[in-house]
Amino acid sequence: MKSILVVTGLSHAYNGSLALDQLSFALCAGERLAVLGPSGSGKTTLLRLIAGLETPTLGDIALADQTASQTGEVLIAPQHRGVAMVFQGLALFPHLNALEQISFAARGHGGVAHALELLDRIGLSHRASARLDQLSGGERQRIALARALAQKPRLILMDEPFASLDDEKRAEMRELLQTLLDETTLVLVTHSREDAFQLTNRVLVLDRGRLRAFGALEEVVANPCHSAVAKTLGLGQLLAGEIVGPGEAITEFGRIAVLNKSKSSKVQVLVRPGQPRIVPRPAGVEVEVVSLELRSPDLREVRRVAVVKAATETLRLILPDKTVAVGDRLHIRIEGECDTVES
Amino acid sequence: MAAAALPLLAALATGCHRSASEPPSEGREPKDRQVVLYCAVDREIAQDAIDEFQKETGISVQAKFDTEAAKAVGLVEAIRQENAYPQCDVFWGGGGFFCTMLADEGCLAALPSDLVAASGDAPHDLANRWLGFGGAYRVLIVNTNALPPSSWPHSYRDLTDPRYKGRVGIANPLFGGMAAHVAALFAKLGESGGRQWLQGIKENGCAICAGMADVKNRVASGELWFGITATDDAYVAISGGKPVVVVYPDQAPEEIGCLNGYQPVALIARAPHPKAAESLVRFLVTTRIEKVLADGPGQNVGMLPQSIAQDVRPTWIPRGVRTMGVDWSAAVRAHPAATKAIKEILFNQ
Amino acid sequence: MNKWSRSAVPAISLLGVAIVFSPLVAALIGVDSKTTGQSELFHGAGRPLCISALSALTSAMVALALGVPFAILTEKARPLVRHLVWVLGLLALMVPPYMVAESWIVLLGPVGKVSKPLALSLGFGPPSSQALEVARFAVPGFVFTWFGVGIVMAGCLFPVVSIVVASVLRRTDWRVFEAARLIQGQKGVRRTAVRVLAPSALGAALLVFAAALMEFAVPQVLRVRTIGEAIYERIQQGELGNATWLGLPLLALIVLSGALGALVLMRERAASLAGLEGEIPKFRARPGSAKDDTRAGLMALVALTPGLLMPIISLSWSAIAAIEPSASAMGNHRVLRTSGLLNSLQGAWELAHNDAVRTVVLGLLAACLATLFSIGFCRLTAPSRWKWLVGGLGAGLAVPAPVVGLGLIKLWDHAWTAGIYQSLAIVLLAWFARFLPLTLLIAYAALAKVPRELEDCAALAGRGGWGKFKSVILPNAAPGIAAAWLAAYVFSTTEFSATLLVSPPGKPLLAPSVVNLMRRGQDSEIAACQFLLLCVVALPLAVPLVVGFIRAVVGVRQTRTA
Repeated sequence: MKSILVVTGLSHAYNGSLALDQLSFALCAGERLAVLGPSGSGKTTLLRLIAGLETPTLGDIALADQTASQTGEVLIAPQHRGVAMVFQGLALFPHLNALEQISFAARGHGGVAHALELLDRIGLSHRASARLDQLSGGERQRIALARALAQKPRLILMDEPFASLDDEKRAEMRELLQTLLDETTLVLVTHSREDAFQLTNRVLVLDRGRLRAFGALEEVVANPCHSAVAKTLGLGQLLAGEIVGPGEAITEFGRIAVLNKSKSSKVQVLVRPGQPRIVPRPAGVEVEVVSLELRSPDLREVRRVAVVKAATETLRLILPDKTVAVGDRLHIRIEGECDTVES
Repeated sequence: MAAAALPLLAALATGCHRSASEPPSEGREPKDRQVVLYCAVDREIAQDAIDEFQKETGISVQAKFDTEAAKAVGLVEAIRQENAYPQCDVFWGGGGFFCTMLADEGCLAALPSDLVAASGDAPHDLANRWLGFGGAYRVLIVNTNALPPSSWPHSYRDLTDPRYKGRVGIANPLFGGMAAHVAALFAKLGESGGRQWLQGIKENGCAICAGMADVKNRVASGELWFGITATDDAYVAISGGKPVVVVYPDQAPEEIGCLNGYQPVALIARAPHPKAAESLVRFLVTTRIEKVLADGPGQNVGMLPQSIAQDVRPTWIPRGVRTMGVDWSAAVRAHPAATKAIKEILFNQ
Repeated sequence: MNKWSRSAVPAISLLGVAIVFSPLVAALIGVDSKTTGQSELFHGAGRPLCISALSALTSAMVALALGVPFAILTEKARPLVRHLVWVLGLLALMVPPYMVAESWIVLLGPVGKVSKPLALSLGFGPPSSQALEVARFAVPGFVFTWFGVGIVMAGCLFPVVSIVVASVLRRTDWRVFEAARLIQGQKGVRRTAVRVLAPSALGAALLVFAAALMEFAVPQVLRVRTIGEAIYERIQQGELGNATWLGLPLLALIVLSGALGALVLMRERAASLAGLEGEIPKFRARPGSAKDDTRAGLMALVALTPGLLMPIISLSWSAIAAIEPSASAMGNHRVLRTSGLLNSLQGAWELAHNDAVRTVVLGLLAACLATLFSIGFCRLTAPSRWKWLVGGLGAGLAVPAPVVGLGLIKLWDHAWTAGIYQSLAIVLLAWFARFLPLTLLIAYAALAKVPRELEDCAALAGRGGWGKFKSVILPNAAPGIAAAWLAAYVFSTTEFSATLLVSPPGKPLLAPSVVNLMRRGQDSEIAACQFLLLCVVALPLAVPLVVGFIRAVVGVRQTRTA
């Protein structure tokens, strides 16, 4: 498949501090990439560099086999890159109404007719003349999306586009985006795992400006190599451990079978949901129940989860029944093989 | 853009030096159909005379007028700063004092000797660098509502009279015509006499007004009871029906007389249009123009021999007003001491 | 930044510096003409400088006291009242301060048309039976004091504080006050309001302080000896260089206070929120009521009295008193000796209409050029370190007008620059030197308020430099740009000190002509001249007001027809 975006050795600094550090990845046409990471990890900076709104301190960015930016220089101006962006905060023009917002971007790409068509596709043709302050949050989101698509871009960048929406509206927007995107390549910055899982097929995880994971979503989920990936994707819980033998590590919750990818003897062990189990005494390790929670990960049934504590660390444990109370002492064991990750 | 900035910078670099090598005005092609007049006389006083000159000679007068609000930072200063490359041909007004200062600084050229000779006793510079005409006396303007005739002042010394404490005023003596007046007093009375007078008016709470017109306004409104102003300013109040009267000070034989603030006219040295300039000066210094000035808002008094013979004056100004003879060169020499005394005594500096 | 921009930035910066500061430098380092006496440079300047500072401080404090409640109460009023009050506030900024000072003397001076009868009626003067004593009675005045100067300048400049405070209020989410009210009641609301408004209000007050220091005409009219008098004295003595040096402490004070004020305002500035949030807060102040309108009207009455109502009353009083020709008028001047208001208006127009037309045309040209230059300067220098020069150029506002005029004469009075010196271009240069910094500062603030994301969005939508500016920057910065244009126009057309010095012979401009005509005018003539000047000044407002009114009427008619 043809590469639409190639980033090579990209670094960027703001006022002496490094926002991005040696990023390299490539995206093919039609792929959808989720960029995840904690706040301040450089996600927005990456999008702005791809859009040509910032000049890279180091490294190259190529769009459709053309070098668009290189060290210290923007070679192709933003307006000539065929890239559209939905900004965090939307950046709608205060002086334009709904139709005009979209027409603004549709100039040269079908004009007002195309804008009207998009307005209809997002279900707001009855609000064409509404001013910005007359539109609801969800309506403004849709208009921002339509404006980006009006340019018929080859690459669309979205920076936390659904941040201020409730779950229901978010789900609606995801559906809308799916129908509107067609084959457009997407780079989506989001904090939401649902957004990433539902809208994209590749994921890039940033942590303090460094690339910690890049690849197909399933692959990254199956083989996280860094604690930041585990935390960002919510893959499980991390315990401090020490390798005591081939494929075995000792933690406060006992010995655990591990798939060790680390060269060091001190490791972080990723315990996935469902791996910790209650076992009959005297097997396993004794822990104390410190609190109880309710979870409903798949929205079908509600599960009770106990937070148990060993010496210093805590672990969440799905409870099979309802007879456990705070303060109770249990014996648990972590079953199955766990991954070790770098930190 | 850099090219546009360069001329400004070049102008700055060269503009600060008075260049001895600047081409003299003789090198410029004379334009006889135009004359540039810097006129410290108010526009509405001078306009009629200018219009008549243009009509009669066909020479266009490009006039630039002064304003009292600009104080001395006006045409006198412009002439000073333009001395290296004058733009002006004729200077009209400013008083003998400032004309003498300009003459001493080399800004003025000598007038035709026949013109000066024909002016009789009209005031003129000893080196013929300016000639005065169209007199305007420095008078005391008195509010008749506040002061009955028995209480009217009669002398510049009455400004120190405690009967009028806090209710007298003069124009700011650091600027304009009043600066010339005080310098003239210092020349006449000597430095100690001048300082004594200044001390006296200070102790009497004399108000320092923005100018002669301001004195007139304050007296007319009743805020002050009397003050020193010029007859043209006083005329405005009188014709406006204000409750004021004009007193010609120091008319007794032993007194110093009333200062005559005439309008000098002068030729600018190295002027661009010398012939037209001379035409204008010859036109202005005539009885005919003194009549125009007497009839107009200036309400000036004729000073040329023929004007005196024909009694050219506004009807409300009496005949035979005794004027203070002033050696303006001496007044210019006395000016620094007068300024120092004013600042020390009146402004506590 | 591309290569063209990189070379244009230093060039335009250099050009700005040259325009603004070349007259000052010329005056400082030029060779003085021979003087009749040298005075010690800073001798006697301390007291006038203190008086200048005291009156400026009074201006700032009174402007705060008037401007803050004016803004708060006006913003609470209903739209019609709000718009009307703001238009009046803008008019107060446009009236020349020296006219305001004159009106204070006429109305509230020791024998003011209001002060004296009021004092007599309240029993502070002699009984009315004693005619002579009544004629001699004068009200002890505060007008001719530094305090009076401060009040007058506050009356003229309080809208600066009001505009800043109103701007802060408009971009504040009202839920901030509601949250404070829930926690601490009205006390909490007041504390929060102080915290929200105080920094910007103080920044604006510092700007008022700087502006008041720059004003020389009002202290002259009110007979208060400030540093301006000392500077003029030096100039009269032929010591232009010394006069300029003497102005430097004042310049430093103005630059310091102005820079501090601008810095405070910039720190408090927040980009406009409209368009940047996923959800616009619909939580504004509750809609106004008739009570709010009344409060706003009363506050407007109080705030506008010193700087707008006083000159209107004084002008109207003179006009009405002189409306009929007076039989006692003497003299036979062709224009202004005829008395009576209408005759005087006609006379003033006959004498000065060429001056008025010339002034309007030149003022429009100056405003357009200054605004275009300011926009270009701000846009080009924004991404670079040169942008800080905007603040530095603000120091040009502090250069006394006579120094500008005389410096320009020194600079341009040569054979090879005659084409500029002998034309109205020299007047343009004088106006630019004096007011380009003001236009720059206002334009900079206006352009900086447009969020950068909007510009980025336009870039991504295919707009180049000019396209971005035209389609996004200009529509969102238009009010500020218009304010910059208006400021340039009003200040240029009313400027007379520098104009008087440099305007070419035979091409007089209105402000010096009017001031000259007013000098020895009767009441009707003075009223006529002031009216003529105010009409010229208000002309740019009149055109859009008339157009807006016509559009509103047409819009209402169309609605009714529909």
